[in-house]
Amino acid sequence: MRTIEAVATVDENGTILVPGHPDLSPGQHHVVLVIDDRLNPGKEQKPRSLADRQYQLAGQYPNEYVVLVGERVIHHSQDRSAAIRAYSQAFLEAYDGTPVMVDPNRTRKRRPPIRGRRRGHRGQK
Amino acid sequence: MILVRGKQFSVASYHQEISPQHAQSELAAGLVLEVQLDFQDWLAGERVNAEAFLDPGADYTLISRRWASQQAHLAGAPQLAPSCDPEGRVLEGINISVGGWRAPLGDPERDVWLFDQEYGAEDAGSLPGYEDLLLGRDFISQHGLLVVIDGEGQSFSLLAPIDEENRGKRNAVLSSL
Repeated sequence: MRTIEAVATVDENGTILVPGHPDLSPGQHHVVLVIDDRLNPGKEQKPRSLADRQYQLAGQYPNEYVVLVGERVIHHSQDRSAAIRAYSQAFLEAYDGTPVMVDPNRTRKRRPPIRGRRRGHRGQK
Repeated sequence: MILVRGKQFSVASYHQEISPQHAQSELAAGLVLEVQLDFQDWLAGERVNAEAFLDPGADYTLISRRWASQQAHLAGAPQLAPSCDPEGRVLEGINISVGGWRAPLGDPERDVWLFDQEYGAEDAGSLPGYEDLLLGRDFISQHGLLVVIDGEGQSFSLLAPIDEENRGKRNAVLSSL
């Protein structure tokens, strides 16, 4: 008896596909499946970008302005002026990263793609 | 009100500084205009000069982080950029001045973004070109501006049709098409 943890894929027919394990011998095996109901559990557990992780950290302080540098929360409060001061002060500290702020009154928007002028002839010396 | 009247296509100072050979090429010159920006908090609301590229093909207005950093150094301010969120969206009010006209840059529906501007970067997330900010179609529509580009004369004009005279010009152009 052994335990294998893996991300399985269920296709349109309901067939469950599990990644191969070289240490299992070919043939039929009796298995017990425990299904985690979250879709794409691996993706949920690890936000992809720094911005994702920063928003996740800021989410711990709902209704507050949150100032971060990298993945470090350096200030949180409901006072916008205090948050602006902390944001400004963060540039004086020897933090490794660029200060950013999360405004509780603004819903998140993804960074837009650039259309219009492109790099190319304008980007060459 | 005519904000820009028959301005010749040109290049920004930073363009001449960082890529002088390319800046002199025939295709380099474009719709570049001098503006001033002031921010709600950053640099204590002082107006700062910027060279903008008017790009009707761009969806959004983008500000160069390189320019912001330079302005902070010039002002002796430690804060190298206006407040922005992790995606780069500017979180404070901005006004733009062109000639004697001053108006908000961006509104609750039209965000303004701070972008890195690294020379030679192939990263699609980097602000292209050499100007300090890129005024997109959002800016033109926000204020109902009329942009007249004269390819033959290599010049452009920018009108705010808020007065009867400009509205008449706008209507005359549109009705002649």
